[in-house]
Amino acid sequence: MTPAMRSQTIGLAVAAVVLAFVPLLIGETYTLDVLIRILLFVGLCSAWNIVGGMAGQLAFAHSLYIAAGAYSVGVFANLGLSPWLGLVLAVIISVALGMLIAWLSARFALPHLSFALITLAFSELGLLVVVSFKFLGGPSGMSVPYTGNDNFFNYEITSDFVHYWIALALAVLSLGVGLVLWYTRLGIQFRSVKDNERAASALGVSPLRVKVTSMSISAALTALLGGAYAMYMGFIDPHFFASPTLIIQIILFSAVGGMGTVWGPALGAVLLVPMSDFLRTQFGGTLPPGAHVVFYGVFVILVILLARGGLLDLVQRLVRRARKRSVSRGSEVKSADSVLASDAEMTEKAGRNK
Amino acid sequence: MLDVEDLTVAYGDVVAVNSVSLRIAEGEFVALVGSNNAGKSTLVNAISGVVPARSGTKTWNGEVVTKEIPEKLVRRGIVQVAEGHQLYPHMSVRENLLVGGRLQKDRSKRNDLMETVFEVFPRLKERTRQQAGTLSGGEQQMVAIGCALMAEPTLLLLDEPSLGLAPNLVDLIFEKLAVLNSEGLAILLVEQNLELALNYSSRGYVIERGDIVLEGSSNDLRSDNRVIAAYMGLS
Amino acid sequence: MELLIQVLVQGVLFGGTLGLIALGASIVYSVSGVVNFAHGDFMVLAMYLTLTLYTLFGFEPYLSLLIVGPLMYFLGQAVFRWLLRPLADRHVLLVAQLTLGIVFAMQGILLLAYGGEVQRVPSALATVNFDIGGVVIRAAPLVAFVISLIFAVGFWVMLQYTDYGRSVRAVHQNPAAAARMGVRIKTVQYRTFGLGLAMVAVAGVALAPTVPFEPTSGLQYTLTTFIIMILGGMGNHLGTLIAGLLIGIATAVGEVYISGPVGQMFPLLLFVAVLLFRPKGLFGTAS
Repeated sequence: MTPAMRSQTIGLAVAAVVLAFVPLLIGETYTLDVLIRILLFVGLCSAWNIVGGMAGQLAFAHSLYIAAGAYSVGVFANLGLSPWLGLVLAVIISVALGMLIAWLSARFALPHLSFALITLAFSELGLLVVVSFKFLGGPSGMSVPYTGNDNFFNYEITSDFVHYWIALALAVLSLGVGLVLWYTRLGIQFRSVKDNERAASALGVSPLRVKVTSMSISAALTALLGGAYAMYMGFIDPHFFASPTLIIQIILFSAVGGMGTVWGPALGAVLLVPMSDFLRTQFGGTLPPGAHVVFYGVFVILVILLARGGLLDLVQRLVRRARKRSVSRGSEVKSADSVLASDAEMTEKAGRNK
Repeated sequence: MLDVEDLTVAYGDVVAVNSVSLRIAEGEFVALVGSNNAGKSTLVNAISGVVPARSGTKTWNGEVVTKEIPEKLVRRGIVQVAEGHQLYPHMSVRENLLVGGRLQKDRSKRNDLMETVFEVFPRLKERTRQQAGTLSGGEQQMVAIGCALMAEPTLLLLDEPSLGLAPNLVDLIFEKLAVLNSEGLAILLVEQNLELALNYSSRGYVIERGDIVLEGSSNDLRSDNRVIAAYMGLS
Repeated sequence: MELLIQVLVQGVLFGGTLGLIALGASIVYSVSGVVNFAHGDFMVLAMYLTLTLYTLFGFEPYLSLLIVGPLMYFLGQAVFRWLLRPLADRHVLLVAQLTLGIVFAMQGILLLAYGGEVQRVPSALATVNFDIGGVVIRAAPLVAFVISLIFAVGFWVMLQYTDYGRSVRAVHQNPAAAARMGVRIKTVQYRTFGLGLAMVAVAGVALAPTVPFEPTSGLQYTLTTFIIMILGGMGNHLGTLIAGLLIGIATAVGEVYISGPVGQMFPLLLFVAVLLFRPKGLFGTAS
């Protein structure tokens, strides 16, 4: 384990422990709800990042995995079976789907944009499939039966605390997997394919294996998160769980935070989930509907134009410039500096290979 | 006309052209020779603005043009001939030439220019409607030169025009170049074929590993043993 | 049999307009490599502008073309110059993501300005029908088709016979050579993006009297555009137009013969099926 990886792992572990206590401090409040959703998005963005930021594939297909996760638990719950089993099924389905899509992409050597567009088509197809099955609740969605009892085995949880901890666990898992991948050979292979597929394969890296592996891992994590999100919401609305809109948001959060890093997408989620909430609720009365979406879109555009490498990269540069500044998780940010910096450069250079 | 002073071109840490100076006066036919990877192409690309220079200056008729983009330099009269296959493959010969002559807004003048090109390369006249991608190598080279001529250059830059061409075609093209030169067009010719280059040019530069190692009149260079040595990378 | 002809006619009419929309995206892609996820949203914007012109001034929708078209042309140039061109040297996916940001911004702006209800633009032609041998053809889609056809042909002519058109093809086929010949790549790219949006605006104005729309309608059209582009071969303009017709027909077939969301899926499924056999699109890698 390199020093950078060690410090970041420790940082993650510390953060996990610290965050675990938060619900005890703030109780079951609206804030807790926001935090849960932030954590779920951190997990989703980090999971997506494995394919998007690390392997460089702009994949919209993740809405399929989210839907698989959400609907599996929903269906299982409605059938009286344990939703945990549903999650297992969801992971299996998602990984299978993901491997298929990745294989198609590698087999036909699809250029980045074609791959993106095709996965977008799959995503839309997924929504239509889901909406057309009465069995899945059709366009009005499916609700998860609520007995009012606590039954962990049946994933019936009344306490938001537990939902929080599940979300935290999954977020940490996503980030952890991301960390491990980043610093190990597999992750380096991912990034070499992202930078220059032809060069990578000349060096013996198999783009097929990279695409399939990254997609599988990403799909599995995403499915878990989809399931957790559904169980938390208690209601599965296809226009949320199966639509391209959600995955677009995930992609944008990741881009804003900085796609070329482990922590960037998480940062994006941490910033933008509460921001859109805030805009919608606090100003809900004074601002007409739609304002928060505009704000949000404009913000994304500005970040992409002005902050090369995303906000995380921006922050890193500021930190590097003001060496004396001490950040609460300073050790991990600073020692990760060089690795992350070189990757940001790699990301920029990749742009030359259009 | 063209004054290049201490021009350096580098890719990252690799210096391809090292503080090179050269001059081309009006109507001159100058050759730039050297072995493979000596930096000839890079130098020519830097002159036409396609590749940026790290340091040094380019002056054209007294004006400093070092940072100007190729599009501007073309308007000034410095035109580089694209390598033979670098045409627009799915457009006809005529259309290719029209793109080359874009800068000439006056339609009748443009047609005149095209006629001139056809006079220089009569073979093209028979193939005006043919798709450029289907022409033979030699014909493509002619189109490439023709396109450059459509922009009414004062200085024509050629990078290895003889590459991949049958000898009789090469002779043909070079004869034409000589004619154009005699009519006042300055030419900077990059060529690996030493004999060819020095036969047609009046002056030459020898470049080796990014440095100009020799310069002089072509006659002198032709009989200079050091040229061969430099070529072989022996000096 | 009559129904089949009816469906085919409907499909072709709609497909013609789809083709024009996709053509707008195709030329932009061929010249600058940009894939604009907000493509459909710009079209919806044009539809809303048409609505406004009608509500405020009583403009017959088709006349709005004269205003909305040029307006979108200049908007396109501005968008490309200020938002997209600065990203030219960065990863191509970043441009895609920026356009995703535009999607959100645009939807929000439309929502703010017009509210979320579904809109229609009334037109004098709305109730006019033609009956040709038992096949009913509504006037509005026919007009849309004719307008699209005119513009597609006009575009073709421009591409073949004007300096600008040749520059566009030159930049597409060999940008390096074009730059060397003094073609102003940047200008070509600005103009082409503007033109792309203008084409989409024309399609939007033409379609407005025939389909309902709301702020979020754009993404659907964008997706359809991309499918058409890939089917026709990225950058192959003629292929794109033909693919547009095919998808139009597939959409009509799906709508009429298969009910519900599965019907909507038909074009998508067709798309996936074709891709499995011809991954480079029906018309392959052309220029």
